[in-house]
Amino acid sequence: MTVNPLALTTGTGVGVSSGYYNNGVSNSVPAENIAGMLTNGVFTAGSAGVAGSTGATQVPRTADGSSFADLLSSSIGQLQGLQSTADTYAQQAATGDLQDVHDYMIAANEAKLATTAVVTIKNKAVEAFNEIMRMPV
Amino acid sequence: MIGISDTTMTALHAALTGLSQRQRVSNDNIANVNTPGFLAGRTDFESSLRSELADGSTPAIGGGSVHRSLAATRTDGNNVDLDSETVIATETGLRYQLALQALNGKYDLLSAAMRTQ
Amino acid sequence: MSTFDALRISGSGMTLHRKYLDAVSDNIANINTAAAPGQEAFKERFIVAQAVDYGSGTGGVRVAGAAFGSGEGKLVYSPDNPLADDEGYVRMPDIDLGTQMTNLLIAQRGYQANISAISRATDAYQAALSLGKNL
Repeated sequence: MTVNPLALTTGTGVGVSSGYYNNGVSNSVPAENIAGMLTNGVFTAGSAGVAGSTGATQVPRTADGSSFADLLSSSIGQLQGLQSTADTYAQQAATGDLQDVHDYMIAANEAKLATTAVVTIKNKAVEAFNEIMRMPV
Repeated sequence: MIGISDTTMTALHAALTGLSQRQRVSNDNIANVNTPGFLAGRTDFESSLRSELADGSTPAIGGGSVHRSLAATRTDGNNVDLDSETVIATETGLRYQLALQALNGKYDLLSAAMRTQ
Repeated sequence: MSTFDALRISGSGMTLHRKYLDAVSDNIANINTAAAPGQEAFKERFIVAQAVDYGSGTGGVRVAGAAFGSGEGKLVYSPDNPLADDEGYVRMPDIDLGTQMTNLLIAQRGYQANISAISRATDAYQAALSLGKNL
């Protein structure tokens, strides 16, 4: 079982909601749209809340062209890799086949640090999103 | 982005594996101090680690090798010198703890950077 | 190959040296054991040590077997001994106390060296087990 630090819900009409209104459009945003916003930018006021709509502003990208969403999803992939390495060593430790005890300790600590990092980033991203949604237009 | 281990941490991991192999071989030498015809084992991981760090390539874990010492033997063919084995074993233990401290230091830096307050 | 392998290796060294000590103590205890001239004298005990998995350098050591010295001994004139034959000779073991005491010291030093090796390995393993405990 891998721990999914983002734990975003899916489905329409369920997601982050700040409870304010923006020109009559509800701010309750489905999870797919959050991902869409991260990739494609915030939709302009008055348009339907559909990801990838025309008129979206450009999202900042790093030098090699990856956006924040790309970085986040690649870091989750690496996190799953680190967690499964730690699990493999833990099983070897249980059966007594582990060659070096520090192999397991290093893998477990790296998985712990990576999980903390991804959870912190998720918390900050959600906080920032809420902050933005709270802004009066 | 979340590449948790950098070159330093991988080098420390390689050192820990090499030192733990040296500890096993040194203990094997001490166990065989009275076995006729036994030549002391020696390990080397430093030379490959040093050249990998000089090249800038990622150090390989488990790159240590075992060879037999060609020092002079006693009359029973055994060349294990208990005094030098004790020194090697003590030094290996201390270097192992030093590498663990260095790794703990790296972990503390990373976790301090991630602290939200 | 177990996780805490250094302990297993040094443990095999301790077992070997303890058996070596046992053999030497046996020899010393029987250094004056007389036998009738028609029988064998007390034979000196030897332990045959052999490295396990010599190439890997991490196999440890084992007792490959026990060997015995010569049973010929030496004939000693001791007419008061109940085992003496008509001429008054008994067969005594051909064991030199000086050699046995030297072997005793060698075996004891080897045994203690293996004990120290176990305690050093335990310290190292325990330090590894507290890696990252402040995280």
